Amino acid sequence: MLISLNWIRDFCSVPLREKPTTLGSRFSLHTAEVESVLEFGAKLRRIVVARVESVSPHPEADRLQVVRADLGGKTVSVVCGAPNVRPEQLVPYAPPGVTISGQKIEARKIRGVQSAGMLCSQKELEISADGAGLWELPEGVPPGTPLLKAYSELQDVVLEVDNKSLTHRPDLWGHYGIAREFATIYRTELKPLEVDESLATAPGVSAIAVEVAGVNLDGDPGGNVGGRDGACRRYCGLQIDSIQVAPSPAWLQNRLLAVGSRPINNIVDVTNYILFELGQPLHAFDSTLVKGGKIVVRRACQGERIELLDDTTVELQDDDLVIADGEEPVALAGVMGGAGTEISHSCTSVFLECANFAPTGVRRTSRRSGKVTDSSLRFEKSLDPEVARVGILRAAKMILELCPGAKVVGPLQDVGYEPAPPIEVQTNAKFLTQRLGARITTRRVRESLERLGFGVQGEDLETWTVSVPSWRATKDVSIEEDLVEEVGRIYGYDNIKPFAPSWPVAAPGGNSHRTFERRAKSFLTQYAGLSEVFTYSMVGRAHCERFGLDPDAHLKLKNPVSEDMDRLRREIVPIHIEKGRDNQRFFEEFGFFEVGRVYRKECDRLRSSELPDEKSRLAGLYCFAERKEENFYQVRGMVLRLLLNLGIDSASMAPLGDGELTLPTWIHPTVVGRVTAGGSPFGLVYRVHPMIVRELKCKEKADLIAFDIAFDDVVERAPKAFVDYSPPLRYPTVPFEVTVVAEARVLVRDLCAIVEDAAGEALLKCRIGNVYAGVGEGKKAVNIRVVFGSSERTLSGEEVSALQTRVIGALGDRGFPLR
Amino acid sequence: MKDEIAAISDELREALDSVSSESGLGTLRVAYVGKNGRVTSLLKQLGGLPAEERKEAGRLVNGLKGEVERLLAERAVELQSAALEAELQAEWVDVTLDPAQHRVGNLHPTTRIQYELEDVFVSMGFEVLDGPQVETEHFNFEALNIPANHPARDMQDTFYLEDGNLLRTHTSSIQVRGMQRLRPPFKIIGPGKCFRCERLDASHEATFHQMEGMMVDRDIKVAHLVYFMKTLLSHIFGREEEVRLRPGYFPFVEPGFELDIRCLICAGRGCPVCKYGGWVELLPCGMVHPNVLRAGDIDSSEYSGFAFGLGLDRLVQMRYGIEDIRHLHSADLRFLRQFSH
Repeated sequence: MLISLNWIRDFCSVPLREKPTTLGSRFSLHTAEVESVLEFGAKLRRIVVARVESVSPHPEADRLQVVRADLGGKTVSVVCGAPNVRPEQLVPYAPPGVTISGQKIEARKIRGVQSAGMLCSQKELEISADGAGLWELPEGVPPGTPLLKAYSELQDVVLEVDNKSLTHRPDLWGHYGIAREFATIYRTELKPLEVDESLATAPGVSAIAVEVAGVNLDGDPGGNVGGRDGACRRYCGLQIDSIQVAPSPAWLQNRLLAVGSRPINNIVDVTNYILFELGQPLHAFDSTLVKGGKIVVRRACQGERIELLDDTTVELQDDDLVIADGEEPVALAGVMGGAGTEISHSCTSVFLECANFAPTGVRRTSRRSGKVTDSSLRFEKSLDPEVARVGILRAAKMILELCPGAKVVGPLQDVGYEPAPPIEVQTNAKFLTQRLGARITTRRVRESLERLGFGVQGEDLETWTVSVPSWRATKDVSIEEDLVEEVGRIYGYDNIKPFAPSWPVAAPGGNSHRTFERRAKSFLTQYAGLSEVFTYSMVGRAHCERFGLDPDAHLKLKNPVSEDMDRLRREIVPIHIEKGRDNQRFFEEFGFFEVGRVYRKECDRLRSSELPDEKSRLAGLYCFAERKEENFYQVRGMVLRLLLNLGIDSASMAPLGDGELTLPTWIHPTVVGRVTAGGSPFGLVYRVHPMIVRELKCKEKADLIAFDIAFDDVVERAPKAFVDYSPPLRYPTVPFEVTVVAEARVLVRDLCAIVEDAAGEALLKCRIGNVYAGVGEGKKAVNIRVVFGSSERTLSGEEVSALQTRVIGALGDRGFPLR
Repeated sequence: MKDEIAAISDELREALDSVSSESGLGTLRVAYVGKNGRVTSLLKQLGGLPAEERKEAGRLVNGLKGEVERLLAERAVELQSAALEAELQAEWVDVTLDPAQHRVGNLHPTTRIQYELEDVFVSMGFEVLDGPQVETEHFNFEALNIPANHPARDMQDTFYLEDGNLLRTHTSSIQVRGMQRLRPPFKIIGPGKCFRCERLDASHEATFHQMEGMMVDRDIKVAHLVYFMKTLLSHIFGREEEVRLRPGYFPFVEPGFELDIRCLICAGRGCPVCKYGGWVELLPCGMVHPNVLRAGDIDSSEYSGFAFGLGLDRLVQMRYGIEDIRHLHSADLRFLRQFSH
C-alpha cells in the first residue's frame, strides 16, 4: 500500500525536517515494514504552467502541430504531437535543459520548425501512466506559475508499506490510521476526524430504501445476513441529488495519483478518496438506475449473474453476498460494483453505500471470482463497522463541496448494525514491562496506549482496565499479550537490552536419529570423499514413467507449481541418476549422497497415523570413468564400512534370492547386492541399468554405481551399547592358507562357511585373499587365509595339522579341490 | 725402509683417491694390510733387522699401519655416504603432481550451518526434535493459532496433498509436537525441510530449510529472546552483524517480530536479494501466543516462552554471498564442491 506524506500531514505534524528514509525506517521499526520510500516531484522543479494560445498545422508533418504557448509574459513556440492540444488549454511546459523521461529537452528544429521545449503528458512527467495526451490542468492558474507551486501536492514522499505486514491491522489500510501511528511514534497530536452530523438528518425521503435481509425483511429466503455475526454488519446509505459529474479538481486528482489510483470523475474519486483516507470502501450507484426503489443486501441465488464494472460477468453461488435492487444484483458486496448502475457523465443523483461486510465472505467471493480489489483487500482484514458512518458523512460533505447545488435527500439510512460489546483487557504496567524485559516508565506505557486510542483506567501500580478502541477490536487486540506488543513496539524493540534467562543446568535429551545421521554424513564426506547434495522431494509424471514407476502410486499435490513437480517421490536414486547425468558434463568421476525422505501413500500401521509413511533414506551415486568390476567392490566396501562405523558390525552383502522381487527398471539385474545385518535387509548397492544410462543420455562408457539404504532401520538396529571387549589372545596363533578351484559364480561367502564349519572353535579368522581366473573355462582360483588359535592354550602341532586336513577335506568334499 | 714407508703412504693416498667402490676399497685393503699386503710384509721384515734399528723401524711401520687403516676407514665412510647420497638423489617426486586425485568430500552448506547452529543451541541446553514433513492442518495451522479462513493461510502459500494433508510450510509444527512430548521448562530446536508454493527466483525457493526454536519457562521475556538471537547470529557470522528488530505479524506469536540483517550480499547498498532495501528478513520470532501454549496443554498464565524460525538457506546465502538460492537444490557439484570446510 502507498502512503502519501502530504496526506498524513492533514492529520498530524510529522517533523518536516525528518529525512524521508528515516521516516520510512522509523515506521518499519515501530509499526509495519516500509518496502521503499519514493520522493515525488523533485524532477518537476523547472516545469511551469503554460496556456496554449494558438495551434497551427506543421507544414511538413500531418501528425504534428505548432503551438504558441504563453508562459506569463513570454511566449514560446513548441512543436507538439499530442492529439488533445487546443487553444486556451493549461498544460505543463518543460523548458530546454530539463530531462523528461530520461531525455534532455533541447531547443531544436523538428522537421524544419523551431521548437523550444516540450508540452507534457502525465506519463512524460512520471506522475501516472496516462500518456494519451497532454495533461490538461484545471482552470485558474496563471501561466508561468511553477507547476510545483500550483500543485504543491506533486511534491511528496510516498512510503510503500508491505501489505503482508498489515494483515492483522484493518486500521492501517487508510491514511488516518497510519497518521495515528506517526502521531504516536513522534509524540504529536492527532487531529480528530471532522464529521458534519447535519448531513445525517437531511430533510426529504430517499427514493431508495435499504434492506438487509433478515433484519427488516420478513420471510426472506436468503436468510439473515445482518447483525454482529452476519455477512453484512452494517449498511449505511445516503442519496445525494443535483450533482454534476465532472473531472475532480487537481488537488483531489493528485492525492489519488500519489497513492497509485487513477482519477475517474468527481463522484468516484470521492469514494476512492475516503477509501484511502479511512481504509473504508464506498460505492456510488446512479440512483436513477436502481430499480424497484430499494437496495437489498442478500445472498445471491445459485446461478444468478452480474456484469461488473470491469466489464466481466460473474456467475454467482448461493453463498455470495450481493447488493441487489428490486430486480437483480447491482454489486458484488465488498468486491466490485455492477456495470448497470455505474456513474455516467449524465448522472444527476447518486446513492452512496458505505457498509461493513464480514471478512470471510468477501474473501471467499473475491477468491472465487478472481476479483482482488482495493475494497475486497480491506474487508478481508475485518474492518471496524464504526467507520462506515464516518466515511459516508465525510464523503457526502466532499460531494457537496465539489458539486455546488447538490443536496442530501432524506436521513442517513443505517441498517443492520449491532455494536459489539466493548473489549476490555485487565492488565497492569508491571506485566507489560516485565514481559518485555525493559524498564519503561509507567507514564510512558500509559501514554503509548492512550495515543494509540486505548482507554486506560486505573492507578499506576494497580490493575488497569484497558478498553480497546473499535478500530483495533475487530480481531486484532483482545488479550494482555496484544498490549505487550503495543507498548513494546512504540518503545522500540531495538531499545530492549538483551539478557540471558536463568535456568537449571541440565544436559539436553539426545536425538539418536540426528546423531547417526551426522556420523554417517561425516563418514561419507571425510572417509568416502563424497559430496552431500539436496534434491527436491517432488517429481513429475514423466520422471516416474521414465523410471518405470507407477505415477499414480505417488502422493499427489493439489496445487503444484509445475507439472514436473506435482507428486512426492517414493524413491531417491532415480533423481540421483538424473543429477549424475547433469554432472557428467563437468566431471569425469565423482560421487555424492543425500539423506532425504521418501513418501508413501501406504500408512504405517504401527504408527496408526493419518499421515502417510515418511521414511528416511541414505542414498547416493558414484560415477566412474570406465566400467570395471572393482567399481562395484569399492562402493560395496564403502557401504559396509559405513555400517560398521555406525556400529552394525554384522553387516554383510548377499545376492538377491531368485525371484525374490521384481527389480526396478533402473537396477542392473546381475550387478546388485543386498546389504543385510542379522538377517534383515538394509538396502541395495547396484550398477545402474544400461538401458536407463542410454535413455537418459548419460555417458555410455561411464559406470554408475548407486547405493540406497533404509536409514531409519540403521538407526533402529544400531547398538546403543558399547562394544563387547575381550582381551588380546595370550597364546600363539597359527596362520594357514589354501587355494582352491571353484566355479566362477560360486560365492566366496559359501567357501568361508565351509571352512568355518570344518574348523569349528579353533578358527579365529577366515578371509579371502586373491581371486583369479585363468584356471580353466568358467573357473576361478580362490585363496583362503585362515588363522587358528585358542584363548586357553597353545594348539599342538598335531591339532593344527588335523585342522588343516579337515578344512582341505571339507572343501574337497564340497567340490572345491586344491589348486 | 723410511723411503719405502713414505712411498707406501703416498701410493695409498693416490690409490684411495681413485677408488670409487666398496669392492675397490676391499682390494686396496688386501693389498696393503692383507696377509701378504705391503704393510704386513714390512712388519714381517722387522724381525730381520738389527736390534738397534728395530725399535725405530717398528715405530715407523706401526705408525704406517695405523695411518693406512685410518685412511682406509675414512675412505670407507666417504664411499658409504656417497653411495647413500647417490641412492637418495636417484629418488625424486614431483610435489606438484596429484595422480590419485583424492578428494575430501563436502557437506551441503546448509547442513554445515545447521550443524553449527545445533551445536550452539545444544551447548545451551536445547534438545533437537524432528517432525514429519507431510503434516496435518492441525499441526501446521490450527494448533498454531491459524484457524481455517485466516488470511495467514494465504501468506503461507501451502502445498496441499490430494489426501487433505499438506507439506509443512514451516518447522513451527515441530513446536506443537514438542509441547505434546515435553513439559515446561524446556528448550527445543527443530531443523528441517519445509515447502511453500512459490514461483522460483534468485531469492525464492519452493523447498527450503528452517530451524525452529522454542523455550518455555516461567517469566520468559522479549529480552531473553533477543539475547538468544544475538548469540546465534554472532556464532554464525563470527562477528556482530548489524541487525534490527521490528514488529512482524505471525499468528503463533504475540508480540511477533521480524529480525532483519543488513544485507551481506551488497553491504546494504541494495541488490536483488534484499529487494533493494538493504535489509534481509532473517528471523521471524516472538513470544509464544497463549493460544499456542494452550493447544500444547501448557498453562499460559503460569508459563511464557519465545519461539523463532530461522531460514537456514537464507543464512547460507548471506554468509557465503550466494547470488541465487536455486543453487542449493541443484545438486551441481561445481557449486557444492566449493564448500569443503
